[in-house]
Amino acid sequence: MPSHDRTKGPRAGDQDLLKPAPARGSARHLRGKLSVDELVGALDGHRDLGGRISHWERVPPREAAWAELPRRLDPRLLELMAARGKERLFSHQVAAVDAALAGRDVLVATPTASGKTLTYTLPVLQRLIETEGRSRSLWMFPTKALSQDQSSNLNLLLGDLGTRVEGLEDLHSFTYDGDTPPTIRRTLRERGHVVLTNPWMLHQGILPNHAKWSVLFENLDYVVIDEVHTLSGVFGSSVANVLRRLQRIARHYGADPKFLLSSATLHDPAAHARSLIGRDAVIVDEDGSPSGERVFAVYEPPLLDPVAGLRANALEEARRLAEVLCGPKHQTIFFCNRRTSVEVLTRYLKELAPRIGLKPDEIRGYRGGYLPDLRRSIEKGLRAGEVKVVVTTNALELGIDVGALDVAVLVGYPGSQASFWQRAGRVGRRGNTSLCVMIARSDPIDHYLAEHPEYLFSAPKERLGVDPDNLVILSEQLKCAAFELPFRARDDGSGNTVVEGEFGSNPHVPGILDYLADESGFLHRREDTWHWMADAYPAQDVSLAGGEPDNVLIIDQETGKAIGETDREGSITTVHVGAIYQVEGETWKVERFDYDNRRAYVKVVISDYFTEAQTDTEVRVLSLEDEAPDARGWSKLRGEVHVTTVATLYKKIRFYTRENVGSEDIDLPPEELDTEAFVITLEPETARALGLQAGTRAAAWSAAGRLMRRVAPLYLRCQPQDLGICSEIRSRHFEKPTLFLYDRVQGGVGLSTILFDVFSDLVRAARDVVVSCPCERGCPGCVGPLEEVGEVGKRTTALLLDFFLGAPLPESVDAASAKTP
Amino acid sequence: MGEPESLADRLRRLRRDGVPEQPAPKAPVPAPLVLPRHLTRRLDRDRAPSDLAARATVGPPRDLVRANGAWERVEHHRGSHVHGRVQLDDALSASVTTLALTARDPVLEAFDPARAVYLDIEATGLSGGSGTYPYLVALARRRADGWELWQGFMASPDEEPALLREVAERIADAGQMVTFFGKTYDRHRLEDKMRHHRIAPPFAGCLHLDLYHPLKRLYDGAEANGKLQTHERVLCGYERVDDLSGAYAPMAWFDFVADRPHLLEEVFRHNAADVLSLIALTAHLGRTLDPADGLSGSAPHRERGLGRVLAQVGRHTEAAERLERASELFDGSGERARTDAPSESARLRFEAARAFERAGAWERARVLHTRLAEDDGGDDLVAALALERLGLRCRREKRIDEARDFERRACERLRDVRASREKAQLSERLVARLVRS
Repeated sequence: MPSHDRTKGPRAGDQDLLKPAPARGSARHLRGKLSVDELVGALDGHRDLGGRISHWERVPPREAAWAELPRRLDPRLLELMAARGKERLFSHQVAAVDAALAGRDVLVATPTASGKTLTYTLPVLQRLIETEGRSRSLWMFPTKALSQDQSSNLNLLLGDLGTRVEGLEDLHSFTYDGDTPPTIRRTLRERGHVVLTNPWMLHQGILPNHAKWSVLFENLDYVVIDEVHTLSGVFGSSVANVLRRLQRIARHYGADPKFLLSSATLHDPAAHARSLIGRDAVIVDEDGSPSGERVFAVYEPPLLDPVAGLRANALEEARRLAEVLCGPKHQTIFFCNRRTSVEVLTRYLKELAPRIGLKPDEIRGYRGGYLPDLRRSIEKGLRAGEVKVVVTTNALELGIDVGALDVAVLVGYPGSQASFWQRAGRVGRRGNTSLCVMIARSDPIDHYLAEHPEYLFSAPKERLGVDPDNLVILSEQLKCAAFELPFRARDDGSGNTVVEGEFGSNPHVPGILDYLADESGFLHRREDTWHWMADAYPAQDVSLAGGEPDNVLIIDQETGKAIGETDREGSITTVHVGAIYQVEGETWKVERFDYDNRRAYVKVVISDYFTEAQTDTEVRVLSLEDEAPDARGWSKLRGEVHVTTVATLYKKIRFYTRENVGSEDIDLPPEELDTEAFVITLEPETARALGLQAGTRAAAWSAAGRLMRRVAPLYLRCQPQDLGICSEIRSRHFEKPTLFLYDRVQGGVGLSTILFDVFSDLVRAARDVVVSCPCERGCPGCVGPLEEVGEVGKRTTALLLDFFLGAPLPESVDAASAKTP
Repeated sequence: MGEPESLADRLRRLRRDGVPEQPAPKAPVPAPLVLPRHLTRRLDRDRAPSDLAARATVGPPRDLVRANGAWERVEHHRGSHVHGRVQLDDALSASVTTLALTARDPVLEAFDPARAVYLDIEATGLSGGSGTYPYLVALARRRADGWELWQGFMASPDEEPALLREVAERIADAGQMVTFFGKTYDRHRLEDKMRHHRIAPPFAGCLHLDLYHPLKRLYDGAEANGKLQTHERVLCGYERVDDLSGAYAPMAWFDFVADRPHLLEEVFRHNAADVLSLIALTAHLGRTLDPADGLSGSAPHRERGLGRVLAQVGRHTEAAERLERASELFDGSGERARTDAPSESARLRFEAARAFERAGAWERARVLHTRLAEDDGGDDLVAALALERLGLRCRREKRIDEARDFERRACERLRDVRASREKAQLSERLVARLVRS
C-alpha cells in the first residue's frame, strides 16, 4: 500500500465562483479531524475485507496550472473576481473564457470540480456589462434540480455585479421548468437575463412559443449547456435537433448565439460538439485544476460457488464495508444503480447505525422521486456535515452542491467511465485525500474492470452515439420545427432543392417536408414554402427520449391508475397476459394486455415466482453499407435490417431457488423493428474448424454475441439493453453463421457504426472476461450459466474470441478446447 | 434488395405510418361532395349537422376584397339593427360605471362603447404556439352612419403579417376593445403572432373589457354553461340557426388553403354573429345595475353577483340590499325547487347581514341574523354563523351571559351539520370563547 501525504495544493472547490463559502464550524471543520489515510489503512488491514481488495490505485495530488485573467474582461468584473479571491484562474478556465470572448463556440471537457461553471459564467457577465444589461443567455441543465441549484447562486452573483456596475442593478436569473408558477412566467420571459431550463422545457415550452420569448431571442448571446456527456443515444440525437430548432429561431430574431458547453472528460469531444451544435467548437480539455490525492480500491465480493462463479451480494458487501468506512467524523456516500437498492441499503445502514457510532437520522437515502423539500433538506444536511452517510443513485452524480465528502462507495460499475468519475469526483473536492471503493458485481463489465482497473484510469474510451439525422427523430423534430417557423426552399444552383435557414446538413430535409405535407398532412407546401397546417401542438407528442407515444401504459385495473410503462419493443415480453410485473418489490399480475391501445391491466398479487419470456427473433437484411472481410474466414458488416421478434412462451421461476414451476404460451403479434445492425459472419469452413456446427458447441456462438453486448458499454455510451442480439448458425441471407447486434431504436442512432469501429476492442474485452473468470464452465458473470452454454461452451467461446483476435484455427477442436482457457 | 427504396417509402416504413391516406380529392365542383377522411372523422366525433357536407363550398368566400396585402369583408348595420331582442345602439348607452364595476376594473370608467372595437378571432387551434394562425379577425365599430363589421382574412400564411398589421392599426386607433374570453385567448393569439412578425402589439395601453368574467360573476349557476352562445340566447334572445361550431374553424381554413371544398363561409357567418353578440351583451351588461323593465337573465343570480361586486368595492349598504333582495328572489323564485336554493337563500341573507355590519347598520344586520337564527327549518350551519355574530355583538357590548347563550345555541345548531372545514373552524372559535369566559 502506498503512503498518503496530504496535498499542499490549493483547493479545487474554492475556484467555484457560484458556490458560497462553507460556514464556520461546518463539515469542513469536522473533517479536519479525520485522516482518510487512517480509513485506507483500516480497510487495507481489515482481517476479512482487506484481502478482497483486488486493486489499489493511487492518483497522486496534482498542482494547479495557473493563468492570468483574460485582459479583455471588464475591469469591474475583474474587481468582482478579486473580491471573491480570484485574482488568477486555472489554465483551462482562461483558455475557455478567452475562446468565448473571441466569439467562438467552446466545449470544456474536464473532470468534476475543475471549475467549469466559471468558464461560461464569466463570458455571460462580460456580455451583460458590454450591452448595458440587454444581453440574454439560456442555460440548459440535464435535471431540474441542477438548474434550481445554480439559479440561487447565480442571483447572488448578479446582485453583486449590480452593485459594481451602474445600470445593472436589476439583473435576474430565473429557472423555467415545470414547477415555475404561471404567474411569474411573463416576468421571467421579459426580465430574465439568464434563463435556466432543461431540454424538455426548451422543446415543449419555449421553442413552440418563441414569440412570447422574443425579448430573449432578440438578445440571445449565449446558449450554455451543462453536462453534455449525458446527451447521447435517442435523447442526445433529439436534443441535437432541438438545438437546430433553437438556432433557427434565434436567426429569425436576428441573433447568432454562441454555444458554451461543458462536460465530463470525453472521447473525441470535438466530434460530440459537432454532432450536437452542427459546427466546430474550440475544445478545452487540458485540466489545470489541482486535486488532492485520490485513493481507489476495487473490491471483489467473496466467491461463494466457484463452479457457478457465484459471488456474494454486492449490497450485503456494501453493508460490511460501511462498518469500516462510515463514522461520526467523516462523510461517506454510497452510489447504487437502482432506486430499490438505495432503499434496501439505507435500511441496512440505519439498522447498523449504533455499531458505527451514528444515529439513524445521520444516515439518509436520496433519489429521484423524493419530494423537493426532502431533497433540499438532505442536501443542506450534507453541506452542513450533519448527514454523515448518504445512499443515492445518479441523482447526486451531477453537480448538485452537497459540499465535499470523504469516501465514496460505488455498489457496482455505474455503466460508463463518465459516471464513474462523476461519482468519484464527489469526494475530496477541497483538495483533501479521498477514497473511492468500487464493489464489483457478478457482471461481465464489473468483472472486466476488476481484472483491468487501468481501463478506469486511462483516457475515456466510450463513444457517444449521437445521430441527429436518424430519419425517425429528424422527421418528428422537423414537424416541431415547421410548427415554429415555415421552411423555405431554394435551388442551390445545380438543380437541387435545399432548405434555407438550414436544419443540419441532411440533404433529405426537403424530401421529408414534402412527405409531411403530402402523406402525413401536417404541412402544406405553397410554392417554395412549407407551412404548418394542422390543429395540433406537435412538441407535446414528440418525446426526446424516443418511442414514448408507443409506450405501453401499465394500469392497476382496480383503481385505473397507471403504475408504470414499458417500451413498445419490450412489451411483448414483460406485460403479456400472465406476466408478473414488479415495482419496488411488489408483484402485479397482468390480467389483460390491450395490444392495439397500448394498455396492460394488472392486479396486485402475492407471487412467489416471477416470469421470463422466451422470444424468437428473425433478422432480415435490407441493405449493407460497410463490409470488411477478413482473409482468415470471417467478415464484419454494417447495414439496415428488419427485426421481427415473436414472444413464444413464458416460464414461471420461483424467487431465490430459480426453480421452473411451469410455462405457458404467449399469444401476441410479432414486434417489428427497422434499424441498423452490426453483423459478424463466419465462413462455413471456419465455423466447422471451430466446432460451432457440432452439437452443443453452437451455443458458444450466441454466448460470444451476448458477451460482446454485455461489454459494449465499455466502448460506447449505452446500456446493454439498448442493443438487441440475434445469432444464427445458418443465416438465410448469408447462408453461414451470423451474429447481429442491432440498435433497439427504430431507425438506429449510430450504435452499429461504433460497434463496427471498435469490434476488436470489444472482442478483446469479452475474451479477457472469459479467460479471467474463476468459474469452471460458465457463469452469469461471463458467458452465461452452464445450462445455457453447455459443458464446452466456455472453452469454445474463448477459442472463438481468440480466433477473432488473430489466433490460428485449432487443428482439433477438442484438443484445443481442452487447453483453453 | 431490388429497386432502391424511395425516401417516402423509407419514411413510411421507419415512421410506421402504414398505408398512406389517399390524398383528398381536389373537388372542381361543389357537389356531390366527398369530404376528406380527416373531416369525416371530425364530423363523426362531433355529431355535426347532417347537412354540413352540402354547405361546403369551393373557392374564396363571397365579397372578399383585397386590402393591404390581405383580404377583408365589410358589412354595415344600422344602429337600430336588432340582434336577438337587443338593438345594437343600446350598447352606446351602456353605463360605463356598471361595466367597470362588474368587470372589477376601475380603468374602464374611461371606456367609450362608441369608440371601442368589438373583437373576435377564428384561429387554427386552441393551444396557441407559433403554428396557430389567427386567420379571421372580426372587428366591429360604431361609425357615424351605423355599425361597421370588418372581417380581415388571410388566404395563406404568407398574408399573416399584412392582416396583423391592419388589425394592430385598427385596435390602436380605437384604443379600447371588447372581447369574450379575449384576455385569455384572442389577445394572446394576436399578440404572439404580432411579436413573431415584429409588429408592435397595440394592447399595452388599450382598455379591454372582457365580457366573460363579469357575465360569469353575474350569472354563474344560472345558465348551463358560461359560453358566449348561451349568454346571447338567454340574455339577448338571439337564437343561431345552423351555426357551425367553432371546433370546425381550423379544418375549414386548412381545406380552403389546400383547395379542397371548405366550410369557410359558415365560419365567416359564425364569426360575424359572435361579434354582434359582443355588442348586444355589452348593452345588456351596461344596464344590469339599474335595470329598466324586462332585462333578461336570472334576476336572483344577477342581484347576488352585483351584491358581491359592490361588497368588494366597499359599497356595503348597496351590497347588503342587493344580497337581501337576491335572497328574497331565491326564496320566491322557481329556484326554490332546486335542492340547494334554501341554503343559498340563507347564505345570501347572512352575507347581506355581514355587509350591513360592515356598513355600520347593526340594527338591519341584527334583524337578518335573528331571522336566520330563529328559522328552525333553515340551514343549521348558517344559523350557527348568525348566532355567532349575535354573540360577538353581545360580547362587544359586555353582555357576556347573553353572548354565551347565543354561542351555546350555535353549538347546538352545529350538532347535526355535516363535517366540513367551515364547521370545524366555527366550532373551534365558539368553544374557545365559551371556555375563555
